[in-house]
Amino acid sequence: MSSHIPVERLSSYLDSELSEAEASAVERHVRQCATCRSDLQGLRRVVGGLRSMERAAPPPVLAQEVARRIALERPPQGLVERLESQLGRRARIDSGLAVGFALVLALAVIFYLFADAVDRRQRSEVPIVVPGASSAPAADAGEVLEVAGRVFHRRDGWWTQDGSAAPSRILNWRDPAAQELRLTWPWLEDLLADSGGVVLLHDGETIVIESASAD
Amino acid sequence: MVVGPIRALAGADEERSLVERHRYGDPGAFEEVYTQYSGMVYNLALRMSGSPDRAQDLSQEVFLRIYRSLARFRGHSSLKTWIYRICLNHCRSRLGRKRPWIEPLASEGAGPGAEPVDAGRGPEDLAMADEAARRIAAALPRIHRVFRESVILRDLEGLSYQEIATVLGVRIGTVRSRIARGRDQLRRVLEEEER
Repeated sequence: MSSHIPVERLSSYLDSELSEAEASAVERHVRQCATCRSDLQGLRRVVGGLRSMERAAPPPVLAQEVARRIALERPPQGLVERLESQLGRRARIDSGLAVGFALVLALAVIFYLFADAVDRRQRSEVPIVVPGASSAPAADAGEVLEVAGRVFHRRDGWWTQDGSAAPSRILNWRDPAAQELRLTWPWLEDLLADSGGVVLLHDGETIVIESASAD
Repeated sequence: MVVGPIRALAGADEERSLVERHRYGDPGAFEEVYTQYSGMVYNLALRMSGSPDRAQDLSQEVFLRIYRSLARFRGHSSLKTWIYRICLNHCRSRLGRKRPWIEPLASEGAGPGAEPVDAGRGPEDLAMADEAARRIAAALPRIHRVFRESVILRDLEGLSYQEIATVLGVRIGTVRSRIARGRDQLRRVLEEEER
């Protein structure tokens, strides 16, 4: 009997991604090979199960929450520019109107900046820590911590540094590289002690360090 | 925000017009985006996280990102692809290496946020379909994230291999391989449970 069919080919067969000749070859083989026939049936069951999963409707509260959050945002990019360009295109502008328009524009910008600052403060109570502190203070039930000039948000049991992106390295707390970082920054030990892990920026890359509790 | 009836956002021209309207402060533009894509975003977040509560949080954050970035959308890809990318990238960064234990969804036909099941199927059929879906849903978080993404996009979202390649920014061959390995991992997880 010929060798078994790679799972990638079986999977492509299920998606009708093979040519007619390739598909026929698969069908001929699985008629004779119990192992490949079983593999194909297993894959078919998985695909069938996935495609039978019903789509969940987003909860109604999601729309309300999204609306509430964007109401606190600044106006979309371009609105201010549009107002400015309209001002610039007018050939002759009554000086009173021009001053009035500029004042309205300035007030609008100040209003949105103020609203943004209020929202930031309401959303993030940042207890300022003395820079260079050797250990992180106990965080309250709130979500933000600043330590050694870095701001961390706590979500789902993890501390994530502001500005971090998709991780380029994922370390277990036992890894030598992780241990080295823990020795360099004693406060990291404290963050790991009470969380599932820490996501931080180091030398321009985002690093994930899983704590012992994530094992 | 009023969620109106869903209509397809057909074509690049309509997407450009939508983005332009959003840029000039028309709130209806973003409402249309939300109406069209909230189901897609929520379901992707749900299957990536395994938790309805986390999916709600993730979806909220994704739409905030969309709102902030929509004016800068240049149309190099479709709006759907762009939103998929935002959602996936956000789920990746927020979920990280977490291994979320899926909350028992009991059945796919019950619980908050679920759509009504097909009334045309008998109770036994529904029960079997529910059980199979429940087991698959429970197994999904146990496979590697890289494979999970591809399987979700293919088998749950119905994207073509080419579309998935565009969303993920990889070659079609890579998509094919990831889908196969994801399905195979799911198969092994289910077989383990049955022993």
